[in-house]
Amino acid sequence: MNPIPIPEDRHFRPRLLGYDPQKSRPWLERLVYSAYVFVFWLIVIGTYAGVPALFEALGWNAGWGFVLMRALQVVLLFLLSAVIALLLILVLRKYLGKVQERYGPMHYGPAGGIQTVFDALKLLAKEDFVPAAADVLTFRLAPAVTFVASFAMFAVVPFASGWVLADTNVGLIYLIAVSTLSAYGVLLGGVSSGNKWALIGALRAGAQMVSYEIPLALVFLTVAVWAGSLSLGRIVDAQLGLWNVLPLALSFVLYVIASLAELKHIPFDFPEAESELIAGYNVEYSGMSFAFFFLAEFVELFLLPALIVVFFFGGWHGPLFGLEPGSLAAGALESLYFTVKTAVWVWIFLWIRATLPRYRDDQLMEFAWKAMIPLALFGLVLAAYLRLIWR
Amino acid sequence: MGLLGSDERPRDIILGTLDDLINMARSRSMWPLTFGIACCAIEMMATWDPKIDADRFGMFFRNTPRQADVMIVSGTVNKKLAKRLRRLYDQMAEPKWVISMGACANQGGPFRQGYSVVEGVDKIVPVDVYIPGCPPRPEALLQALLLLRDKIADRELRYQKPREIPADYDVLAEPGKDGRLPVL
Amino acid sequence: MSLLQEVWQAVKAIGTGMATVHKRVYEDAPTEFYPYVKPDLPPVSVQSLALVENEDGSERCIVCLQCERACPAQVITIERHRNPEGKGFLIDRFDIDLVNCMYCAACVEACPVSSIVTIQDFEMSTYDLQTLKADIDFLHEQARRARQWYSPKFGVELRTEDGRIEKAPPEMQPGGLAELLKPAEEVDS
Repeated sequence: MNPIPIPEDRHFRPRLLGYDPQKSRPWLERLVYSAYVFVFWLIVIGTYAGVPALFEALGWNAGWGFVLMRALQVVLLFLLSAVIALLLILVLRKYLGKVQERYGPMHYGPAGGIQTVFDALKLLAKEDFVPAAADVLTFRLAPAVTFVASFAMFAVVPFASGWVLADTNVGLIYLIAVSTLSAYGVLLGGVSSGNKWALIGALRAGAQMVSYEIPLALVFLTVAVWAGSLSLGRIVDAQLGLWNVLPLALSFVLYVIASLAELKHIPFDFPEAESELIAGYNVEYSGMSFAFFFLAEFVELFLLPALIVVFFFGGWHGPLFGLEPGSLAAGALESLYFTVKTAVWVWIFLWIRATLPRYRDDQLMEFAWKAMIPLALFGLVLAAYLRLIWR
Repeated sequence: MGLLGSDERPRDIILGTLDDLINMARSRSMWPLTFGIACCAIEMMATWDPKIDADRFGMFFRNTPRQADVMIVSGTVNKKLAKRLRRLYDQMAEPKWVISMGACANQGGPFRQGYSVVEGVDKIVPVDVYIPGCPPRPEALLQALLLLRDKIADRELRYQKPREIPADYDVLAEPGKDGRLPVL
Repeated sequence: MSLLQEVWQAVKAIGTGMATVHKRVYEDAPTEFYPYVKPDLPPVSVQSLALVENEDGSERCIVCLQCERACPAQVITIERHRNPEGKGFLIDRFDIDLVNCMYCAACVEACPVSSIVTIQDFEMSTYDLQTLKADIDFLHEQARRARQWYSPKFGVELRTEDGRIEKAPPEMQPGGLAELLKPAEEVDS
C-alpha cells in the first residue's frame, strides 16, 4: 500500500509559501532588529521603572512586598534574556551570512525575523536525552548552573542611573564570583556526560576559563582602583568627565581579549571546537538542556560587552537634552544610550567571530600566563600611579 | 511524529493546534547532521554555499547527532558503515528524519550487485525523502529538504508511515562476546 | 625581529583581515532563490531522461536495444516483438530504473535515432521510490512536458508553441571542441 498519494505527473514540488522574497530587503531587516531592540527597551523600562512604581502605588514596597517586587523583576529579566538570545542568534546568523556573501535566514517571518522563535519552539519539543553512561543528577544540573551563573550577572549591571537590581558596594567581587561559576556548569556538564569528547571539551573549558579569569579579575581591580569603588554605579559615575578607555587603554584591550576567552568565543572557542571535538562539552545534550547552554552563551554575549560599556565607555552617560536626572524619561533615554553602546560592542564581537581563525591550545595557555597576566599587573600598577599623580 | 510521541494528531482543538504549531516550528528549523559519506557529500556542502544557501530556510549543520534533526545519507553505504550509520541514527534525539541522497543510498546504484554494498539505506533506517541522481544537484537536495518541510508541516502527511522495507539484519548484527547475534 | 615589531605585525594582520571581512558585507550575494526561481541550466546538462515521440505521436524509438547494451548500470529493460505488418520491431516494455541510473547519458550517445534524450528537469526528489521506476508512459510524459532536450546526434531540439519539433538555433547549441579549448578566463566570463 502506498502511504503518500502520488501527484498526477509523478513529480513532488515543494510548496511555495505565499510570499516571494527574491532579494534582501535591508530596510525590513533593520525594522525587525529595531522591533526586537524596542521590545528589549520596553522590558528594561518596565523592570526598572514600571514595577517599582507599581509597587509604590500599591504601597507594597516594604517587607514581603519588596521581595515580591524583586521576584517580579527577576521574571522580567528572564524574559529579557530570552529576547536577547532570540535577537542575537538571528543577528549572528544574518551577519555571518552577509560576511560570507549569502543571505542568512530570510524566508520565515519578515526578513527571517521569527526564525529563532521557530528554533526555540523546536528545541522545546525535542527529546531531552540522558545517555546511559551519564551521571543523571549532575548532567541535569549543569545547564541550569551555567545559565544561572550567566543570568545572575544581571543583578549588578546598571542600565541607567539607579536602574539596577542590587547596587551593592561589592559589585565587582560579586561579578568575579558569579562569572567563575559558569565554568563549573561547563565542567560539570562535560564530565558528567560520560563521553570522551565532552570530557576533553570540559577540561579545556576549565583550563581556559580559570586561566583567563585571572587577567579579568586584575582588570576589574584596575577599574576599581581608578574609580575608587567596587560598586558598578559609582564606577560609571566616576566616568562623567572622561571615559575610562583613555587612561586605562591597556587594561581595556586586555579586558576585550579576556572576555572573548571567557565567552568561549572565536578565536578562543576551544571547549566546543567543532572541527576537533564535535561539539565539545555539550556533545551529549539535546533539546531544552542544550537550549539552556545556548541561552547562557548568548546572555553572556550581551553581558560581557555590557560590562565593557560600564567599565570603559561611560555606561549610560550621554546628552540628556535638559531632562531632569532621575526622572522616568531621563532613565529611559539613559538606558537607550546604554543599549546602543552595548549593541556596538556586540557587533564588534561578532565581527571578530566572523574574521579570526582558532588559536592553538598551547598558544592559548601561553598567551594567558606569559602575556596577559604580566600586562594586566602592569596595567594595575600604571593605573594606581596615574591616579596618584592625576587626582 | 506527534506532539507527545503519539502516532496521530490529537482530536482536541487546543492540543491539535499546539501540535500544528510545534510541527510548523520543527519543519522550519531542521538541522542536518554533519555526516558526509561520498561524492554526494560534496553536493551537500554546495547546498549551503552562497549560490543555493539552504540557511535561508533556517537549516544549518550540527556536528553532534544529539542536536540534529535530519540525517542526509550522502553516498554508498557499505556493510561496514551500515552499523555506524544505524548507531548515529539511534543517537539522534526524537523527532528525527532521514533523507537518502543519490542512487547509491537509494538502492545501491551502480554498485548494487557489489558484495560489500547495502542495497538501499532504507533497509537500515526509515527514509522519508529520496533523491535520485548521481550525484543530485544541490537544488535537488534543497528540493528534498523542502519536501520534508512540507511533509512535517502537513497535518495528514506527517503521520503517514514510510513504506515498510524489511530490515537487513545480516548487515546490522554484530556478534557479541558469546558469539551470538544480538536481537535488534 | 623584536617583540614590538611582532606585536605590531599581528595587530596589522588582524586589522587587515577585519577590514577585508567588513567589505564583504556591502557586496551582493550570488544567491539564486531556488524554489522561487528555477536555475538556468545549460541545455546539455543531464538531469533526467525522456523518450521523445515524433510530431504525429508515433514512436521514434526503433527498439534496437543499443541503449540497453550501452548502459553501465544496467537499469534499462526492453522487451520487443517483430512488427507483424511491415518492417522493424514494436515495444512491449521500456523501463528505465531512474533510482539506480547514474545519469551518464551513455544510452543517449548510443541511440541511433535520438529517441532517448536528456532533459533538464532536476526536481525528481520523492517520498516514494516507486515513482522513479519509469515505464514508457512516464518517459513519454517527461518528453511532452520538456520544452527542450539534447541528444548528440540532433543537438538541442525545441518544442515550439504549436507542438512541432525543430532544431534549436545555433546560438543555443553547445559548442564543440572550440569552446572547450578556449582560455579559461573567456569561458568564465
